[in-house]
Amino acid sequence: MSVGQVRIRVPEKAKAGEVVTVRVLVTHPMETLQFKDNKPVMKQYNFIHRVEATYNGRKVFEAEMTQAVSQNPLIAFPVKVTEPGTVKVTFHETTGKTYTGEAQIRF
Amino acid sequence: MGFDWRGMSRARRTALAAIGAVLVGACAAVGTTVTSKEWQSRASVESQGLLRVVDGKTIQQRYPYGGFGTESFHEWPTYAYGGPEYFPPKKGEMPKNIKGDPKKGHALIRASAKGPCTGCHVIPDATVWPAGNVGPDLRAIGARGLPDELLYQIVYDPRVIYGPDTPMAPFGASGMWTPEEIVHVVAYLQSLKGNPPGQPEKVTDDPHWDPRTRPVVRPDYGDPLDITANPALGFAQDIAVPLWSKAGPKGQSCAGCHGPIAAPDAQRPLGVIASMVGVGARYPKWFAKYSRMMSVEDFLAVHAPETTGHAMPSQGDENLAMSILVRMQSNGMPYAIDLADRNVQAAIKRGEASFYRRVGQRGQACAHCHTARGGGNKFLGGRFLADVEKDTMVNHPYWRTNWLRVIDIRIRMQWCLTPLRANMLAGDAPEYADLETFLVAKQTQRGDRVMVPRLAH
Repeated sequence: MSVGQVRIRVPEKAKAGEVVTVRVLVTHPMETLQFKDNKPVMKQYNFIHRVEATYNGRKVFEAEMTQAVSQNPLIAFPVKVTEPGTVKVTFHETTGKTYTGEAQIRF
Repeated sequence: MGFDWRGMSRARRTALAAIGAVLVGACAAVGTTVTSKEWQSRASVESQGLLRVVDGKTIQQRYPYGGFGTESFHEWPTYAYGGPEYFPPKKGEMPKNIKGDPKKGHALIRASAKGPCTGCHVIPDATVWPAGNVGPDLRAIGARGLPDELLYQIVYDPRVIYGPDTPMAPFGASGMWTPEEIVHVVAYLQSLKGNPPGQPEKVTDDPHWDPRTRPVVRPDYGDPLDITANPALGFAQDIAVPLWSKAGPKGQSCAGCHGPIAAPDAQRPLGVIASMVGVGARYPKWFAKYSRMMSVEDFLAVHAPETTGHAMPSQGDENLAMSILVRMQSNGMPYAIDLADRNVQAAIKRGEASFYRRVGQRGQACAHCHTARGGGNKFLGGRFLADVEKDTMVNHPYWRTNWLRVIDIRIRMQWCLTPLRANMLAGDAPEYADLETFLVAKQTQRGDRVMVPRLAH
């Protein structure tokens, strides 16, 4: 599985004013702290530290993550939708790379 | 379980050997199969279990994850047909000149490198976590007035006392425990008088500690057909879906013969391949061309190179992903292997014999953990063991939540061999195909339905 695949699941149809649940899975190793001779290895660890979501360009969700979150993190959050549109979720990795996925919510 | 297999496997082996002797060389004869020695493996390198010599020591190359290790047990029996048998029950002689030390015995009985005994037996020690109940509760065994020699023999080789079908390993006779270590354990066991005397001591109020009162939890990991819940779907979508329509070196693609992937439905979220609906439920199948049973994974490993020219070694990522895509086309349909085929019937018999075959240094069989006589529906430490008569669960490949990867039934079988201290065969070994046939035959008879990819621990 390639790193950074973002898969989003939203209801196929929603009504105006409805609160829908957006489920997002990202494929990522979420590198954890390594030890050598009982001492933590000092290095740049590669894990997702921030995730943000927009709906039609408007920020609707933002969260911070740490190394304590497991490999291939799954997040779910509610969004109140007033018009049809695109939910866009972006994951920020500690190396500076970002991974983005999109899904359509229709009325 | 309603049948007695004491001595049965030996009779069956003798019969098989007689048939084999008559039919040597006649590959096409009904009731015989190629063996792993004759089969040219198409498995991925890590699945082949190659023996290598490193610093003068033989190791077996296995998977780099999951705790497979590399220690080789090549001198002990494996599932390979025609290999050595496990040694017969052996009487032990308790050393008279060593005085048993219950303290040393206590440390040994819970040492994980020595069994551990506490995986199957309860001892009065609240720090044992988690205890199992495959074997009897030992908390008051010292109150029963059993002779030291008897307890020594049970640890040395229990088959002498309980008969050949005992699930317990011959820890002394196999060389895993020294006579001195057994003497210490006997001294410890004799010190367990119970509290009140003769009754198992209640060492903690935690209901999870005692395997008899521990709740059996079958965790719900979410909807396995939801791509955001089951990473195996993403795995198959990334690898198998593009591969299905990609032309191989011979210019042909899977879709060229089997048709394109159409729109998804509820059971097949990666898309429907009309020609493949119901196919996965009929495997393992007998292939006269190769004189063996083949699962979807085994067949892909020979079929893809022959048709598209693209190598798809079994237990490799592409093979696992393609197997998911093909097998999930049968989701919701009952398993339906061809029980009327005489070659399949012979494979079920061979698979059943393997199921009861003692392998590895521990000399334990599948049956010792997975039938009601052994550990079926009981706790081995914290693991709740499946009973072959109730839930064979051959819905493989599945997403293994603790390894965070897709594994198939062969990797699952190969993994079991590390704790049995046995060497694994290549993942596409005909012996494993027969074992899988034995399991899927039970699922076919029970009417179990296909559900791939599963989400499980």
